[in-house]
Amino acid sequence: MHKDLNKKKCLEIFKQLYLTRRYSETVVDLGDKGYIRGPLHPGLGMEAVCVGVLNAIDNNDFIGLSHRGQAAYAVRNVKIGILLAEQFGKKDGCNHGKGGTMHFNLFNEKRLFEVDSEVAGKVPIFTGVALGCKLRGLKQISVVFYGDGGMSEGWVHESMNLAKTFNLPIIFVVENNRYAVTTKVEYACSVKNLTDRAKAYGFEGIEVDGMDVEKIYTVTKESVLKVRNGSGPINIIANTYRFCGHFTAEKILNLHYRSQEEVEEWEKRDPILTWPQKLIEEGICKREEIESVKEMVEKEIIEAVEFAKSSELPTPEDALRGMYATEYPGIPRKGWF
Amino acid sequence: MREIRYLQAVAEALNNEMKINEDVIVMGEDVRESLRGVTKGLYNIFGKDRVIDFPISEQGMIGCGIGSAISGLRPVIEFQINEFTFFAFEQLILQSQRLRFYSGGKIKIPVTYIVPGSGARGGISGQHSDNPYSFLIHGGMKVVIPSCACDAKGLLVSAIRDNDPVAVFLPTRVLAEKGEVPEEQYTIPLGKAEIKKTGSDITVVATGHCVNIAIDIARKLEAEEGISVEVFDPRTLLPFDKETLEKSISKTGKVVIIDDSPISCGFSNEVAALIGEEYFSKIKAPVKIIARADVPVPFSEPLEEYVLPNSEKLEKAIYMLMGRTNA
Repeated sequence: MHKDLNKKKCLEIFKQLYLTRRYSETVVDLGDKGYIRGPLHPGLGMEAVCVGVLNAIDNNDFIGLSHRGQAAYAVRNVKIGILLAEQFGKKDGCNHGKGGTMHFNLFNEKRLFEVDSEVAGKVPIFTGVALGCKLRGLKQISVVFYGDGGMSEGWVHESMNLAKTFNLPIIFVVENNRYAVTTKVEYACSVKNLTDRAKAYGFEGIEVDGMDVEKIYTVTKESVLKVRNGSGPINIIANTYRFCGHFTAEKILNLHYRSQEEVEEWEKRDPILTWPQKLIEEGICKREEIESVKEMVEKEIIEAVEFAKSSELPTPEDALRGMYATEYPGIPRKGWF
Repeated sequence: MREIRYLQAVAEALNNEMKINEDVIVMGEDVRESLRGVTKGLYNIFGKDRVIDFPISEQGMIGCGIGSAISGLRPVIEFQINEFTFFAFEQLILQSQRLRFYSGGKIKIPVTYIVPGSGARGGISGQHSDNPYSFLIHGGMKVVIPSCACDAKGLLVSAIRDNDPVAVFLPTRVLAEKGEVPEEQYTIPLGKAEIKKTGSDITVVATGHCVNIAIDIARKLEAEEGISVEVFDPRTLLPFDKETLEKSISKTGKVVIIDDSPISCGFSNEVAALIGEEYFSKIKAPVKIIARADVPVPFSEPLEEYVLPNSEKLEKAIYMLMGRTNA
């Protein structure tokens, strides 16, 4: 075990993994029951990447998340209730119902946000955050997550070139779950070794097992040290897998892009199972301690659902507020008489 | 008062603002050498950390503008060529303009986009001749288009101090124009139009370099034909100052709109629609529009001249509305 991962930390990590899993499952369930509008893109199976990376950086480092980065909220102690309330379209949601599932923004409070209906659309923005940190002489770094699909976006390539050209304190984390919706990474990516992309832009790319939270933690720790000391960007490729479809509606679409055997093979490496198993086997903690974390999480989830259900809907006229920092009479216009 | 050129007024505004506020930085392509003249001398004064040359990566550059803005800076981004806005549209609209709204009004994105040399310059044809502001307005972005040196300085300062993204278009045909400009730093508020010439028979709503066209025609028609033309310059296209427009058309009852961007779904149509919907009782004749034809700007001179708004078209529209036979 990594020397920084003492018992307390290990249990915390389990809590984060488990809370994320239970939160995602709850969201899917509530979506099926009609509480949540629109599609959902859970990161079931991918929790270890975010948990490993976020535990290895400081709490005031800046994070740009992908649409499967739900684990980050658990690590940064965001109350699940305000996320659920946002997904319910309620007033008490973290963005008052304006953003919804795909636009959680907790930048002011927790230095993190997710803006990912545009695949990897925040990669240039978090490159800019890194530029801002450097120009302002801050010690903070920027960490931006995107998928194997996002690796093919032009603005990701521009950002990688800029990050090295300006020698920026940024870590590009690729959550390689092997499929951009239904398109295999081997089909869509011009290089076999995904770390070659970073090499092409003149910086280090590191591949890591994205199902193993300790390995991700270790790789990130080492990377952060270099990045914070001004050695420029690093690209981490975390190989992981989503146990669910690309989005919740996929289950009724009858798609055949991957086999049940493949899914089951990856499920054997589920971090929610393997991490506590490892902790028990290595004598770091007892099964009862794991169980008590689970109980705590279940309580938290129940409270969060209650909170979201009991929160009020926004008044319709709120739709026109929050557009500009300066208010002007009659603007934004309504679009009717 | 001293007279300086429009472009000098812009450069002066930016230079002063960088002195006043050290969070103001400049990003762009070839801004250290200052190909466009807006950033002239800034690199020598403020150095590499505040005047940043970018590789030719417009999406990445706009993203960096947004990112450095949310991390506490106040970037001014120069688009070397007007059509670069198209290259970066996703970052401009879906991100920089909308992030605040998605966040429930929690974050601010104080970025200024400067587009020096917008519009046709004579022979630069289909891709370099655009005035792509209607796209930005459609996306909700504040848009400023100063028509003279004095407005350029005051409006640019307001744009930089504003806490939202603001796009400032500097029309190529006014960059060399001289005008009276106060030496001290001053602001002209966004969303305030100016009557550039008062008149009582007809209102000409003019934007950017078309304001000068309108003023020239107004003087000519007043002297030669006794037609009293009022020239209304919105200065800010969004937010648009409709109160000042209402006052003007209440007086004249007749309106011509002249704007150098394509007519369909364009700014000119937007103003006409507003008048039709909200001020129908104030007008005595149908609104006339002089805008660009809905084609890319062609290369050859007679073709180019044919598709763009100009004095002849404006003069004719005024005659038509005034019921003159020389239309």
